[in-house]
Amino acid sequence: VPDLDRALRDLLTDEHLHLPTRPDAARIVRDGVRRRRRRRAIVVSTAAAATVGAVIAAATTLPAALNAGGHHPATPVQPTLRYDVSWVGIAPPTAWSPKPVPPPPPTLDAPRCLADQLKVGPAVENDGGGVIFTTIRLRNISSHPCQLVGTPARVAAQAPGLPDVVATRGLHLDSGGVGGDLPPGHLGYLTVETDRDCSPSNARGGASSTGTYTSLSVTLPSGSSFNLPAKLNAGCGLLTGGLGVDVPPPTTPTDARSHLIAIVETPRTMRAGSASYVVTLSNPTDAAISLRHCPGYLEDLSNGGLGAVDDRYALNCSQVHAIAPHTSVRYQMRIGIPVDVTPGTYTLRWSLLVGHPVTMSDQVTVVSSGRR
Amino acid sequence: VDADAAAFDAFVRARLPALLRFAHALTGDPHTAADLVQDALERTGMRWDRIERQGDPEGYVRRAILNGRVSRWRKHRRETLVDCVPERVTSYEVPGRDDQLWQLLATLPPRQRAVLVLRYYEDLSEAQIADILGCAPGTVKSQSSKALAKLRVALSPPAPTTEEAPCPT
Repeated sequence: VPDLDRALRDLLTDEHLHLPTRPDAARIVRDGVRRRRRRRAIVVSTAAAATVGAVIAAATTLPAALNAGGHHPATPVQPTLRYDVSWVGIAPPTAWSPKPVPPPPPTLDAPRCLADQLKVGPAVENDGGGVIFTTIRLRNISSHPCQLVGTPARVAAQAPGLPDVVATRGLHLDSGGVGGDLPPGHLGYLTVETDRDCSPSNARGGASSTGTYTSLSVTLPSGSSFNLPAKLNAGCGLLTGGLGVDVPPPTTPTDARSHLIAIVETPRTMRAGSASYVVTLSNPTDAAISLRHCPGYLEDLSNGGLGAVDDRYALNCSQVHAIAPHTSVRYQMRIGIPVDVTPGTYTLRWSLLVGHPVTMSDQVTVVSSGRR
Repeated sequence: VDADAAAFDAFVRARLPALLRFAHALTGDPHTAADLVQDALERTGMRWDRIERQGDPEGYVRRAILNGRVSRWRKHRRETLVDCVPERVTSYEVPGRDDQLWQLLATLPPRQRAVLVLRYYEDLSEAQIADILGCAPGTVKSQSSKALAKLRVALSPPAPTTEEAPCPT
């Protein structure tokens, strides 16, 4: 890759990135703004109506519920759509996912690695912002584990006719390396750093300020050493990190909420304005699925072209905190459909916003609100 | 209100081509770019009077485009996330460097791609990029470093069969 900087500059130009614009683009944007304003007004009025409705429902059902031993009768949305948990119009919470579990730290039981136990791989450069990291891969080719840990006793860039540049400890990003026992056949590493853009006062004088060094000499903590070919510009100095062994990446546990199954039930027709439907969340597993980290959901109404609705809310987790094994909970949903939507058949897509989104969709006929 | 609407229209007409180019560089896809710009402009139009008073409406739209890009990527990452950049083409149909680089840019996570676009297309300094992305300059440096490293690895010629250097002395 001779000059990635130049290739990127050549690629990212006005000429290459040009996209045609429609002459009526400003009007399209203006219409979109108007549609959003209308939708926001609907959501606000729906939320207000829901609050008033909830107060009235509580006033009428609470005494009966108390008399009946605390069982709340499900409230019909439509004659056939009943639900267990009412809708709340609050914004979705920040997405949550299980914390990754780091791997156990490497053991430190084996004797220190000797140079003849290691096969040295090619030096790989990683350039960014003037700082160049060079990683040297080290494979244990012996039949016994050996310990690769600590900072090498000496690391030096070498070139014929130039004095050695001996590395100082510590990298720019303080990546010291995770040392440990290196099993036979496994890989470890050493990272060194050079700087392409140091200030002139820090650069070494004469030929070495721009000279390219051709090899790297490394003396391990065990005292044995090896050389490898490496093109390094050490005119601005050389830094070395610690020796390390490859450790597996952290594992992320599955988000149990991703096991939920969603079924969307809509009325045959939805009237533009505010409409209701029901989503049933079922737990097919043998363990309860906690909703302590309350998920959000997305409802999206579209007919193949522009989406009429694309809203996100929080699930109402105030009443059901966990879904028991092999049970279901029916949630009331509301959707604010713009009153000027074109009547027709739409797809209502509903997604629970968890690690692996739980998604289901249903066809619905949207009819005019009757008011413009 | 009419004056605000006229000012917003004028802003859209004047800056739309540049905003589209910026979104195109970020996404690599003209349709996604147009969607992102439309979405960002609609959000801007909703509170135009306040944004215009703050004095940098274009900066606001660009941040909205960036945030929208990251947000969409998070939403769809399960479908698009790859562990490694695609294998390089080794037989016939070797693409031109530009095509290959353009496709490789699309495999970068959006913040890494954004850093490269802001650096190589917008010619911004690390501090300016950090300001736009809302992160530390060190993060910009490391994101840039990671992005370039991925591109270098993907673009570098195939390793020789004896890929490892001779045994140590």
